[in-house]
Amino acid sequence: MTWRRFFRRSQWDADRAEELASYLDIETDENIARGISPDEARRRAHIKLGNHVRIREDIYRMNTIGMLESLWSDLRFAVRTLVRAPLFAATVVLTMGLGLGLVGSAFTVFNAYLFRPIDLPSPRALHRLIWETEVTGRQWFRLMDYEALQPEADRLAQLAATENAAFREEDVTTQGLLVSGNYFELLGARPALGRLLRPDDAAARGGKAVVVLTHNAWRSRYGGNPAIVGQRIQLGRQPFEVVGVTQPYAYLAGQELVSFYVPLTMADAFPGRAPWSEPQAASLVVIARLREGVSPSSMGPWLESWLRRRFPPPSEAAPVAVRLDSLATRLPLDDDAVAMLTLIMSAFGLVLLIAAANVTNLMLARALARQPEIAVRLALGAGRWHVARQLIVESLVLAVPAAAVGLALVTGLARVLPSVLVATWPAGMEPIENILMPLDPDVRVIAFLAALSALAAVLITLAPAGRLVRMRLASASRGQASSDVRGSRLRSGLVATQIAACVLFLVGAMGLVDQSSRLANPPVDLRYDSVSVLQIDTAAVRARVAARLRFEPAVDQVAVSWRPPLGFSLRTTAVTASASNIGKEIGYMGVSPEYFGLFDIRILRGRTFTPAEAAARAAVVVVSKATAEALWPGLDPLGQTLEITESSAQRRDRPLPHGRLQVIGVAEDVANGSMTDGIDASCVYFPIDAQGAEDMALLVRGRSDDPDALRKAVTTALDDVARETPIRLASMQSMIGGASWAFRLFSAVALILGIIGLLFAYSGTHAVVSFLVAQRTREFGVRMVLGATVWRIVWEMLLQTSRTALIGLAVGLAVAAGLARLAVASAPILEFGVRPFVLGAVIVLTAAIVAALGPLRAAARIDPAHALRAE
Amino acid sequence: MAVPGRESPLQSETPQGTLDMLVLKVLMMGAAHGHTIAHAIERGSEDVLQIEHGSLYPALHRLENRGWIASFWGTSENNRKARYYRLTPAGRRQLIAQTARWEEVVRAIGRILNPSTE
Repeated sequence: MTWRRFFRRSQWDADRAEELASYLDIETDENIARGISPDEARRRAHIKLGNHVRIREDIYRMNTIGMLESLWSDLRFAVRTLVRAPLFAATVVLTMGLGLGLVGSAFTVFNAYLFRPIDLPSPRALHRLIWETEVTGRQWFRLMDYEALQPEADRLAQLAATENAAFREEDVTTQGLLVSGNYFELLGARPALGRLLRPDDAAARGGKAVVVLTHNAWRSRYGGNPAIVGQRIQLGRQPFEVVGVTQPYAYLAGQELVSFYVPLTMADAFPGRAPWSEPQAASLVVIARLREGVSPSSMGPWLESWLRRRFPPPSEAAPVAVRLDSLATRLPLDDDAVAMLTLIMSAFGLVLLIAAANVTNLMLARALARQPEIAVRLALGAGRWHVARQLIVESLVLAVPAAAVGLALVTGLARVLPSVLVATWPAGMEPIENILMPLDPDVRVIAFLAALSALAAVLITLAPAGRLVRMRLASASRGQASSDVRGSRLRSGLVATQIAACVLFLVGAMGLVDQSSRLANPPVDLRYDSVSVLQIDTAAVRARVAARLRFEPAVDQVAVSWRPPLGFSLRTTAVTASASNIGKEIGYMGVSPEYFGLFDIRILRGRTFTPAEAAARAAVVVVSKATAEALWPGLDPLGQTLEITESSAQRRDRPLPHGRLQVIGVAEDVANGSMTDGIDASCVYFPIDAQGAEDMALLVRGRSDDPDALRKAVTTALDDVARETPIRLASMQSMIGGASWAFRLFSAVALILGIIGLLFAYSGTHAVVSFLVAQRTREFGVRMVLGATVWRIVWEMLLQTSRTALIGLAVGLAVAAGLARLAVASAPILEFGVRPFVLGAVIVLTAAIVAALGPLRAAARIDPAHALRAE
Repeated sequence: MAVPGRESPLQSETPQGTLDMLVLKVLMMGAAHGHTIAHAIERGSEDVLQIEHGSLYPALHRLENRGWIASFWGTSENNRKARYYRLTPAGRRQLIAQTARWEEVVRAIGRILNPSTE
């Protein structure tokens, strides 16, 4: 009601005017009827009615919403004021826009992976069903489990099953997915071409050799050929008819490398485990679309009790915990993601804060210049709150174009960033195009930018508005700002903060640059050049391939280990040592006897395993030097024993040996764990060989550095013993290249932030020193007249500036040192020397002094006579 | 909302809120336009309550805002276009409630001013 009146006020007012006119007419008529002359009749009617303009005003005001009304006038006032100060407005808009754009860009990247729902109907209902057991953290389903579960769970959720399918041609392994017939129906996906798979495609085992290509594969392998539908292509052991192509990005998290979908009933066409031929193999991934009103927290307990009934406790598959992993976004928003998000967003947020500090300084200077104007307005009866509100409105008016600049920056970056990533992506890795998401700003990004710019607008107004509230009218209206101690302290504080943040960025950036050059050749003491990692999922095939590879002339050595080195952090277990009785958490690794020779790990004492020990999984271990020193300080480790004391309830990914394990050798300290962990703090090597059933990696050293020769040799060997087995083959050089690429990316980002921070610190210092000089011109003039030399005054100003800069420098260096220590604690391979600290400090200090020089030169040129006349 | 020193003559003569009650009372007899209402109040009070008629209009507006009266355009007795007001059911209830309350207050004040008559 009120709102409608508010917008129809003028019509209401016209109505009222007419009503009052009608009163006057009637009253005049009556007066005339009483025998009064028409003119006098009208005059008396007017007197009787009173001031009709005021009546209308009263009514008009009853129809307005006061706040909104004056907000509108504030808005017009702000625009007029800012148009008259274009340089100020442009500086604020660009500075804030740059800050907002940087933070917005960081958010856009996170948004694409963590927040934007995947492009399928009601994606939040999609989950992957997993349970944890004593043995593994990710237990999958057997076909019979899935078939039993589906009808019973139907009340709560629709279920579909997927199974990996892969085959190899030459050295290229193509990955696909076997899916139950209802898979695409459950997703609610639509085809880009042809049709998707239907339940009748997967009606019976061996049924319907049809395939749906992913959009990615269709584009990259078939050139986006629109006539692909209806063609037959060879996949695995038989030809399939292409029936359709999926929409781009219409895949679930974890399916980034999938290039085709075939019916689950075609499993026999692909090598490896198959649901029918190996009914005990639990390899089906079950995907659930929860029915409306069903939440993961209601489905989870139901599934857990169902699993408990199906796998009562002695069973290895007995559930310990049930998980419903959301498939709504590209990446799950788990603890790691939140940590990363917090870290990166704080770094970018700091840049925005520096920008805000810069702008606050500008605003403060402007507020001081406007003091007489504001004082006059206050004296004329404007409320302080109203004037403060005008300042806020002014900032908000500036925030709109600033947000637009930010959005433009975000949009620009969304175009540039993917091509930069593609261009710098190291060779030999899976193509990055598979995991690149479109970065176009969406509703979330725009809302984020809008909220952030409003927040920034309020932030930059706080200081000037606060000063306004405390302003003394009498002195302000005379244009005196002598009681400005607090203001100047605030400004210096802001500059010190900027300098501190800038030092932080520069030290961080230079530290990371140091790291990335070091990490191109990480100090791991492993001779990994010309070593490739070959992953074969089928245990039986792996042993045959390992044996066959030894006869390839291009292959120097072959070894196996539970995990390839430099990829993952070492798993640890609690052990107790003989003699010393020391109990410790120790890293461990299962390796074949050839592992040490292959990586050139020197055995300092004793010997390595014999092949017989490896085959029998004998109760012997090799320990690293650091482990020997930790467990048997001052004792001879050889012949000592250690026992794994961890309770069997602890879940493990690989079978650990039982009983007392005798130390037969001591190896030099190297890095077996993840690259960021650096040299192992401790490592126990257990003997294994390629025959083991558990997952392991084949490590192959070529005779030459040529990865292609090795690749060819591996392919030949594979064709001999396991024609179609899919493999993953990557040189360790390229794996490490991938890891150091991430470091280079980090250091590039940090460097950009550092440079922008430096620019802000420079302009901030420049602005504050110029302001101080301008403000104190008269004082300097007086002092010069009284005999102070120019140099004394300049020296004083320089000291004052350096004091501010030094405080900022000290704070920045301290925070940087703290963060560097934290970084080293989480990634021991990092090494922060003094270099980044010294360099960062020198650069920032130089910038601050250079920034102060210009205004100081102006101070030196002050003409005392002129300055005094400026009153 | 009322600014001190700017009250309309009617409001200064009558206690707060009574003008509303008087308007509602006049409209009890049937729909009327502003001119009629103003004269009806004056005449009904035997010219004790002299009002500046203009002050009536904000009051009418307020009453309409609250939904106690409704307005429509019509033609006056002497063929002039005029805005008529009529009482709504809510206005009727309001009048009854206000009248009861008013009488209660008047009796109470009377008791204080003239304790002997009780």
